[in-house]
Amino acid sequence: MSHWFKRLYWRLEVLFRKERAEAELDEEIRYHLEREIEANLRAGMSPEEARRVAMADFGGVERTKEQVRDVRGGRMVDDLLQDLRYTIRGLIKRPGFTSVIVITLALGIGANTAIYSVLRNVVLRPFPYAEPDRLVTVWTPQIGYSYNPLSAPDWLDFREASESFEAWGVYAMEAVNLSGDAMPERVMGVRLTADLLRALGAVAARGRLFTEEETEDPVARGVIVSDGLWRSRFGADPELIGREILINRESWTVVGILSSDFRFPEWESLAEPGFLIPLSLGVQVAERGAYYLKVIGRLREGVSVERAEEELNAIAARLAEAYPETNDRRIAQVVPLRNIVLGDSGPRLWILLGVTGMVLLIACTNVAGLLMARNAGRNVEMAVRASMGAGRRRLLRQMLTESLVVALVGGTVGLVLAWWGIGMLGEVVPGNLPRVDQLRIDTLVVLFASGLALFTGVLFGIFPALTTSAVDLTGAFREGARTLTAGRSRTRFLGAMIIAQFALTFVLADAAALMLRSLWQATNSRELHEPGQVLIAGYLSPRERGEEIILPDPFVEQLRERLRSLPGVESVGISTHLPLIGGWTAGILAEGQDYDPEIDRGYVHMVCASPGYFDAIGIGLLRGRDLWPEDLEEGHLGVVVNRRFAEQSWPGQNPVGKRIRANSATPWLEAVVVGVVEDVRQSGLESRIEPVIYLPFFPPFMPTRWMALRSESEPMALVPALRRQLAELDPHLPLTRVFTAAQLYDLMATERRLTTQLIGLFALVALSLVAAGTYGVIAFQVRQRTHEMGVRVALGASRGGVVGLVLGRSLRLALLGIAVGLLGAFVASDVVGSLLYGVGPLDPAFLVGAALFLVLVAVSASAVPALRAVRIDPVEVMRAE
Amino acid sequence: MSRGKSDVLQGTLDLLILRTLALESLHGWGISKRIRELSGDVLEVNQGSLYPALYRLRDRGLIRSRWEVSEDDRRVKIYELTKAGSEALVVERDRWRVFAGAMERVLGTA
Repeated sequence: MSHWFKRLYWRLEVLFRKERAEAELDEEIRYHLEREIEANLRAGMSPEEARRVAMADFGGVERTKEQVRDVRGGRMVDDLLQDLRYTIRGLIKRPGFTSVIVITLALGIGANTAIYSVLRNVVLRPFPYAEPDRLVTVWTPQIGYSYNPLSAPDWLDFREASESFEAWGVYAMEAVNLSGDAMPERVMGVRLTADLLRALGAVAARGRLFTEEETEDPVARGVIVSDGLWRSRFGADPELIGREILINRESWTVVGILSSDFRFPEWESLAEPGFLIPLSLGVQVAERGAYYLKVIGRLREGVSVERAEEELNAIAARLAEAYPETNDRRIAQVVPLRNIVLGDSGPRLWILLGVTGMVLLIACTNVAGLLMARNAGRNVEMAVRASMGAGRRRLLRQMLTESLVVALVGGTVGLVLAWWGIGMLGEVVPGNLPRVDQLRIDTLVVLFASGLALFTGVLFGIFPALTTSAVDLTGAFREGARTLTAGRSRTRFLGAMIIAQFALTFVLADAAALMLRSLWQATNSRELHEPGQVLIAGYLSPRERGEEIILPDPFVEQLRERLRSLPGVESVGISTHLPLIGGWTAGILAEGQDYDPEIDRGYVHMVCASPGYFDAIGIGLLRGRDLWPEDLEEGHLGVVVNRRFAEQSWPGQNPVGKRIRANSATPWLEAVVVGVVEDVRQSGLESRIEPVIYLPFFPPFMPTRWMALRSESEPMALVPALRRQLAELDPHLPLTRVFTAAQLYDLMATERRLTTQLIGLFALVALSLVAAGTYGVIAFQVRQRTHEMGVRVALGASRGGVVGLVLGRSLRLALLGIAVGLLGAFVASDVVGSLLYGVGPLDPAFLVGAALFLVLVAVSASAVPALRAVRIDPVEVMRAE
Repeated sequence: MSRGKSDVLQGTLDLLILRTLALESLHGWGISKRIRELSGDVLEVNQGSLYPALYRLRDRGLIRSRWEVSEDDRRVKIYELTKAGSEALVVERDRWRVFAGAMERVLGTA
C-alpha cells in the first residue's frame, strides 16, 4: 500500500516538479560518465579517448533519458502537453490552413449535432409518461384499412371482454369556443373517460382528476384545465379551482389543473393549451356505426402489442357475427402510442441524420486529404525527430493529437453552429414537427458533439498519421525537401478519398434535385383558380348541445348573405372541409351498384358546402350546376361529385341525374347528382386524387366551418369587415384561423419544404467540400509532379498535353466516383423514394444531370492547378534541382 | 531494436541488478562496474540500458533509492534492495537456474 503511494508520488513529481526529476536524472548520468572517464584515464587512455570510450560504452545519452522517461511514468501527460504546445504553435503558424480545416469540420459536426438534437428531442426522448412502451392505441378498421376509431357500443363490448389492459379509456377531440370573462377563443378540448387519465398516469397540480362516476354522469359539469391554458388564459390564478367558465356558452366548474409536465398525446403536436371534460357515453351517439372514439390503453405487465391485438381480434370476430351490418369484416388494430404521436417524422429525421453523416464523412476525408498533403512536406521534419529518438508511436501520437485538437476546435464551433441552427429550425417550423417547441441542446447533445469530434479526429487523423509516421529515414534525407515525394500509398489514399467524395455527393445532389422537383410538383398546383385571391377563415358552429338541428343551418345562410354584401367580395361559400384537409369518409354506392356486405367499395370523402362554395374557392364546375338551397328538400337531396367519383362510378356516361346512396342495408343518405366539379386533393399535398361528394349542410353534424371569400383585391384586407359581420351575428364566436387559399397550399408544404431545404443545404455543403477537396488534391499532385512536368515540357510536351494530364487525373477520379455513386443511388432508391412525390427515385434525367454537374465541378476544381502546370518553366525546374 | 529481444535481455539485466544490490547498496555506475567484475568481464552490460532498468525496478518496488554523499564527496543516488526485492531475487534466481539447467541439458545432449 505504501509503495502504491510512493508510485503516485513519483508520478506527481514527474508531473509537477518535472525540472527537478529531470535534473536528478541528469546528475545521475553525468556522475556515471565522469566515473567511467576517470576509470578510463586510470587505465592509461588519453583524455580524449577516455571520454570517447565512456560515451560509446554508455550508448546514447538522450536515448537512455527517453527510455527512463518512458519507464518513469507521467510520460503520457508530459508528452501530451508537449504535443499540444507543438500542435497549437503549428496551427497558429498556418491560420489559413487551420481555418479551412476548422470550418470544414464545424460544418460537418454542426449539421450532425443539430439534426441529432432534433432527433433526440422529437423521437428518442421518452414520452412524459411512465413506461411509455406499454401505452397503445386501439382502432377498429375494416380489413384493408387502418386507424378507424371505435363506436360507443363496440367500445363497451371490448371493455367488457378484454383482459389485456391495466387501464384504458376513450376520448374524442373537440375544438370548442371558450368565452365569458375575456375575448372569445377557440381551444382544443378533450372529452375523455377517467380511466384514460389513469392509463396515462396524469397528475393534477391543483384540485383533482375525474372520478369514474363523473365520466358516467351525463350532467356532470366539471372541467380540468391544462397548465398552459391556466397560465395563458387565467393568468395562473391559484383561486381558479371551483370557478365557473363558459365553454360553448355553457357553464362548467373547474375541478383541477394538470401538472405542467403532463401533455395529452394529441397536444404533443398541437402545442396548444387545452382542457379536459368528461366523456359520458350516456349522452354520446350510441349507434354502432358511428365511429368517433379513440382509445388509449396501458397494457398489463408482460402483455405484448401482438397478444393484445390477438385478444381484441377474437372479440371483434364475435362482434362481427352478432352485428354483421356494421361489424362485418371489422378487425381490431393495436398500435403503440409512440407511432401515432410521431407520425412519419421519425424516419424522415433518421434519413436527415444519414445525410448529415455523409456530409461529415466528406468533411473528414477532406480534412484527411489536407493533412496528408501538408504532411508530405514534413517528411524531413519527421525524419529528424525520429533520429532524435522519437519512436514511431510517439510520432503517431503527436499527429493524432494534432487532428484531435483540430477536431475539438471544429466540434466547438460546430456546436455553436448547431445551437444557432436549432434556433432557426424552431422558428421555421413552429409546431409543425411534433414537440419541436421542446428543442434544446442538453448534456447528451453536447456529449454527442464531443464524441463526434473525437471520432472524426481519429477518423481523419489516423491515415495521414500512419503514412507520415512510417518514415524511411535514409529515403527522407536523401530526397530531402527537394521533391515532395508522395508515397504510393498516399497517392492511392488521396485518389480513393476523392472517389468516395464524388460518390457520396452524387447521391446527395441527385436526391436534393429530386426533392426540389417533388416540392415544385406538390405545391405548384393549378387545382384552384387564382388561390391568392381567396380569403379563408374558420369558425366553429355555435350550435349548443341539445339544440335541435335545423337545416339548412340558419347561421350559415345568414352569414353568407351578410358576407356577400361586403364591398370587394366577388363570391362567398361556406364548407365543413377544405381542399388538402379533407372530408369525413363514408361508403357510398353509385347508381348501378347494389348493396352487398361482401364487396369492398372503398371510401368517399364527404364535404358539406353551401351554394357559391365552388365559385368562391375556385374549384371549376365541369357539368351540371352548383348546389342550390332547394337541394336540401326532403326526398330531393342534391349533391355535386368530383370528376374522379364520376369517372370511376359511371365511366363514359353523363353523371348528372344519377343516384347515389350510403353503402348500408338501411341507407342514411340517398341523393341525386346535380353537378360535377374538378378534382382537388383531399388528404394533403402528397395524396392521390380521391373521390369526393359535396352535399348541402346535412347530418351527421360537423361543427367545423370554413368561409371562403373571393376578393377583387387584396383578400387579407377583408378580415376586419369579416370580423365585424361575425361579431354582429354572434359576439361570442371567435375566428379559428385566417389565411388565403394560396397560403393553405404553402402551409401544407412546410414540412416537405423544410426537409427539401435541409437536404438541399447539405448537398450544397457537400458540393463545396468536394470541389475544395478535388482542388486541394489535384493542386498538391501538380506541385509534387512539378519536376516531372518540367521534364515533359522540356522534352516537347504540348500545353494541351499537360492540361490533359492534370484534367485527366481528376476526371478519372470523378467518373469513378460517379459510377460508385450511381450504384449508391440504386441502393438508396427506396429511402430516397420515400421522400419524393410525383417523380421516381431513379429518374434518368436527374441521374444524368447530376453526373454532368459533378463532371463540371471536377473540371472547374482542377482548372487552376492545370493552368499552374502549364506555366511550369522547365529551365527553372532544372535549376532548382 | 525489436521489443521481443529486449524483453529477454531486460529480465536478465533485472536479475543481475538485484543480485548485485543483494551484496551491497550501490549507485548506478557502481552497479555496472560490479556486474562486470563479478562476471569476470564476460557480461558487458550496455551501460545506458541500466538506468531504465533501475527506474523500472524501483517502480515495481523491488529496489529503492536515496541521495547520499559519496566517498569522493559528491551527491550520488544510491540504490538498495527492498524486502520485496530480496524475495524477488530468490524467485528469479531459481527460475534462472531452471532455465539455465534446461538449456544445458539441451545443449549437452546435442
